[in-house]
Amino acid sequence: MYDNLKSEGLPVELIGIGKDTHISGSTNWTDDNDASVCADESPFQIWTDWGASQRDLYVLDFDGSLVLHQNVSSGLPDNLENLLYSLANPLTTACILGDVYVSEGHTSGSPEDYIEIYNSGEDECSLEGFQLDDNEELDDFTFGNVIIPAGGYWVGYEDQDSSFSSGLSSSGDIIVFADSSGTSLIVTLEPSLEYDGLELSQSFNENGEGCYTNPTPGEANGDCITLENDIESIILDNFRIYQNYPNPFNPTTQIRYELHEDAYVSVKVYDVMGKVINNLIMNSQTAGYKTVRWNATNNVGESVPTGVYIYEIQVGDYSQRKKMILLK
Amino acid sequence: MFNIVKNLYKIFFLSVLLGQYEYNLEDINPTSESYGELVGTSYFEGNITLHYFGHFT
Repeated sequence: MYDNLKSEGLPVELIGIGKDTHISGSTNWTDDNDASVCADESPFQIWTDWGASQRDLYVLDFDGSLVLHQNVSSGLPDNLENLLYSLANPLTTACILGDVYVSEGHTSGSPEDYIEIYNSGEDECSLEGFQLDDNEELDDFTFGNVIIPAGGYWVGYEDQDSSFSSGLSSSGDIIVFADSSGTSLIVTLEPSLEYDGLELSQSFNENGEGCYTNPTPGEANGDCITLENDIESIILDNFRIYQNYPNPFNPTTQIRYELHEDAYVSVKVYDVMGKVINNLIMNSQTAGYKTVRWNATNNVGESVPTGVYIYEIQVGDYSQRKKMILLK
Repeated sequence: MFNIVKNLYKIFFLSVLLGQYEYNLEDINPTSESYGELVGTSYFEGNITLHYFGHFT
């Protein structure tokens, strides 16, 4: 068995310890194996210290801790081989969703689309069975036995081996990260933004709250970048639309927007197929901050199913859209 | 005398550091890779070690 384990590359070493000082008798031990053989001189210090009897077998793990002490006069324990395999290949526990979460996403430019997963737990864990997608179908990528160390990262680039393949839209998207039971966490990616010639990434905390940052795949996230001046440049002159809150939501959410002048306003909700679900606002409004609630119903008051929806505000010839997620 | 005391201190601290299951004995198996060396639990650090106790008869 020892020779087999060694030939398989298992990090196992055997030491035979003889009580007698008659070394000549040791050939019985050394003729057929390459294991270490030692003679414990009188007064048999090792035997005394370890409390060993004749034909006792001790197994110590990687840390030198005792995991087995058994007299093997009547043969080796049946489970010895399995024990050694399990010691050599300790099982890594499954990650806990929440301890592992999407910590960064990047939607375009250089580097290309990537998703970063962070393990905030105290132990390494396995992502086996976890899933990633940019929608709730969760049919894009399922993790194999990927071990993520405590405080470590997994970074996947679009279309690379063992990674996701659904591109993240530069106009805004979601990342759905689910464990093997299908329980998911969702983060919302805002539209891509370039700053100082660099496509920014979006970093997230454990609550899924995100902000624009410099790309740091596989490293601690950078500070949030405040882009008030730059944001102003991408805001259309006559209105501004904010991310709905809460998001994801069930069953109601608020959509907030700001009119810089009196205008005729249309706020509509679409499904991902582009079909209008609900016309929330269609009237003239005065300038100022506005809020409209959506209770996840269609134009005839029927509840709509869980999914990704898009809300659009149109003011004059200009319109903007954002995604929101209904989770029941 | 000084060296003996120093070695005793070494042995003491090693035994504390490495715990109960530590020893150093010469490997007398000429076909072993560690033949002639002092082996023990810490010699094979990073490995799972099996220690078999028996007579050479």
